Amino acid sequence: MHSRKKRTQPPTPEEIAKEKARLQKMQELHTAVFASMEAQDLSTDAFDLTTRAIRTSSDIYTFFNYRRQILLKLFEETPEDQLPALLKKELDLLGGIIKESPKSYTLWFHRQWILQRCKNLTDIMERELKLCEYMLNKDNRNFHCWDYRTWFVKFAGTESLQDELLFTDSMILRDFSNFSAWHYRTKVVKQIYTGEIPDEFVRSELGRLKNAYFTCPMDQSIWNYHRWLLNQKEPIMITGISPREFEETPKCFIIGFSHNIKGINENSIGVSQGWEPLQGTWEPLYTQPFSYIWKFTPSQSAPGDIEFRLSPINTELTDINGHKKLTSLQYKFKKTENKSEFSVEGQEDATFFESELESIDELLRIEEDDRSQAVLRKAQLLETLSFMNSEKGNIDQIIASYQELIRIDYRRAPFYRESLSVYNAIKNKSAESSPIVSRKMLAKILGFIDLNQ
Amino acid sequence: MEDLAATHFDDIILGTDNTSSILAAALAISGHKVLHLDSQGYYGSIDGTLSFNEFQKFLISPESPPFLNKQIHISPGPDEECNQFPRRFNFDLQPKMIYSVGDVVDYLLACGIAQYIEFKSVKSGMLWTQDGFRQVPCNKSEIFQDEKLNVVEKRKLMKIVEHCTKLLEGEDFDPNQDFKSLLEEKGLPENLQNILFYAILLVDGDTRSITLGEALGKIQKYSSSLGIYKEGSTLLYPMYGAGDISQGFCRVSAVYEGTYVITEELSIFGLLKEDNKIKGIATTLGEFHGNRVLLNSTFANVDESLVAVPQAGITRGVILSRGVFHENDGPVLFSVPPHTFENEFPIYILQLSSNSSTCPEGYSVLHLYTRLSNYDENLHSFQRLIEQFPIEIVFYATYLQQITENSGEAVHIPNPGLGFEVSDHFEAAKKLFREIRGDEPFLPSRPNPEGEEDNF
Repeated sequence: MHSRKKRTQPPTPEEIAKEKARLQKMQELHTAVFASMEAQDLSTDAFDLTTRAIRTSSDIYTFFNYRRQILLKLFEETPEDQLPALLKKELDLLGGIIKESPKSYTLWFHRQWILQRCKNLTDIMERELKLCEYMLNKDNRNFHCWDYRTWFVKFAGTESLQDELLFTDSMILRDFSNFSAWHYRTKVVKQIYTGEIPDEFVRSELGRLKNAYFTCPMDQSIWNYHRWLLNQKEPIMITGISPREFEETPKCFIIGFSHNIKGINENSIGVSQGWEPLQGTWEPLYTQPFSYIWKFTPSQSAPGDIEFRLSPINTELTDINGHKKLTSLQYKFKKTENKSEFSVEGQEDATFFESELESIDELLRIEEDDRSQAVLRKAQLLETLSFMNSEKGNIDQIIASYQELIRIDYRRAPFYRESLSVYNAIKNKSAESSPIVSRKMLAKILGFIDLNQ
Repeated sequence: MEDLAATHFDDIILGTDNTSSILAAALAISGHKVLHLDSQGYYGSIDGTLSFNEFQKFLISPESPPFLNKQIHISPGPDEECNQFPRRFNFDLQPKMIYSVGDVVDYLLACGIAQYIEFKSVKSGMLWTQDGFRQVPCNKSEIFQDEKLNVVEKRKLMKIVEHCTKLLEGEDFDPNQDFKSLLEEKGLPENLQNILFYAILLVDGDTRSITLGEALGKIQKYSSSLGIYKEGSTLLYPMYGAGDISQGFCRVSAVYEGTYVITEELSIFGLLKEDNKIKGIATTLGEFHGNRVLLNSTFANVDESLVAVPQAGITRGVILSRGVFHENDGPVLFSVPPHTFENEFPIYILQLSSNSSTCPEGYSVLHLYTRLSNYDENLHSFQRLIEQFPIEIVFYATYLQQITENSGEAVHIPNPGLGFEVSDHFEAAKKLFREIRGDEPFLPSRPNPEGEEDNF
């Protein structure tokens, strides 16, 4: 359990003697199980031995493996109509042990293994959900149990995902400082809304999140969910375009994206020169099939203005999390006299991002101490807004935010410094000497760096 | 009675209020021969719980300290249930509660009294706001969920909660710092201060007198008791009335051979003295001898050398009504901040109903109390408050409870009547016990001498 103080008093001699006797007994039991395993004994006596062993040592997976070997033999020998009783007996046993050792990986795994052998899941459904609820009431952050519930609901296929959503509601209302509860919520929401999450839902979630981050602005679990939720609304965008290998005209273009994506081809990005489509090949740089940075090589020379447009139809373009929303912005590369110039045209719907920026600013105006999480989130929202071509995406504010973070949260200063140098580079239109490590960051400043270095 | 007259006691205690009963039990457990007397027909004295008839009798009986200015404002009609079945109604003279976790519960368990008394969780945090009474948020998850506070208010309230938590976890602070100044320094508006003072700290007087140390002590009690027996609840109220607490301790004292005389036939003529030393008391039932005579405030006059210094007073109102302020499956404590109904000090209302066996179904008993400013003005504030609610009043009475500091030749048992906490009585009893028995353990945990099965 969290926030519980450990016992500080040394054990008494009686306690030491008792513990010694207990360990002695356990050792004997372990030796017996290993001997029985060695002898490949799959009898009921051996089965009973493992029952005793998993009761006292629920973390030793070898015992469970051995038990499963015996169980497999038992399944073969048991008549079909008596199987459910056998499985139920095993589940009963596990239920008892899980209550004693709620955080044993092997136990929860073994329960999954048993359930995969159960035929009639509807009968078991209620019981499994009840077990989870019971265990989570005892410790609402037991991620083993959360994981198990996630697995079970997916495995058994609950008819009412709304009930699962309500379940996460109740856990979050009880205590919102709960990474597991929010995480499970993302899973449920994704299952309910297989396409894009409706605005109405996002709005109500943001309302609740606002109450949460004003209550505890340093609670990371809220901000994680906030980030996840708005990421669902953030389209895949182009963050930088850099023409390379000039002769008369650039031989190729290096293009940075806001997401780690795959599936770019002529169908997913329209490139045109004037009114004419420009054919060419796409290849991911550094990593594949997913990459933040791609290289486009036109099949003919491109002397004029070039336009890039992400195409929402016939596209296999997706990011590493399966995110498919594409920006409607158009990216133009213009060649004037001696230099090339880029412009972004169009307007992305940034309502949620802008209003959240406003809310966070409202918080930061009154909060003097617990700022770092909110400032970081503010910086991230500003970044997204800047690539969304919103007036609110102010580079100076991004820089100021990271400068503040370096000051108030020095433990993560190197992490913030990387972002800071990226936005300094964007602002000054030239890169600083400090190296940028992450491809995601690199994708934003392609125009100012030498990729060959 | 002749046996009693022939016995020499260590302590003769007059009055069976909470403090006296706790002291009687503690002394009896420590091996003292205790004689415990009361001239009321019931246990509890000023902490007693009375049936309807007993309560009527109390209200029309001649005035004697500490209860003064008794007034019946509304009398029940002749065919009311309270006239026909008076024992179905339980009226506390001064209702008391205990925190779910703390020394009182520990004592109740240690003495085995927890076996005699059942408790109901009290719903508190019902504060009068501009929207009427509403459940105000008193912890992180309630603040998060609250629909009336705006987000900025939530932040401000949480900052105080976080600050207090840090201090309670061991950060250095000046315990004598004024708590209200701290709140003002942190920019906490009045509506949020009200939540802290009247829904969580349950302050009864002037908020300026609360030090940071006191406030943190109360917050500690509050937070460790929160949600132990019921979600959102910190306090417990005894079933059948607060008088069961004194009765429980009298029972423990009797188990340890304490002798009890509880009868209206008893009245006290005076103290018996020999060489200017108190030797016992002369009563209508004969003379009783003992080393020490201890008097509670109802018997203070027995001491001819009594000096009574008034400390404070409480104006109390008791209402029997049909219908309730607030539907709930347990007792509810409401808080009204000062200056809401022209009240100088906060008013608290404890709503009791059939679920705590205080009255039959369909009725509720409301205890109103506020620190005395001016009795008539207090009644006026009560009246204005009552008018806000669509309750049908069957019976309404008020009285003034005077708190005095008594001293004289005999030992005077103080009446810590201002607050609602039973722990005040324990503190008072413990102090007296220390004076008598020194460092001997006060109410030590012991095996139950009655040999009843231990359920814990």
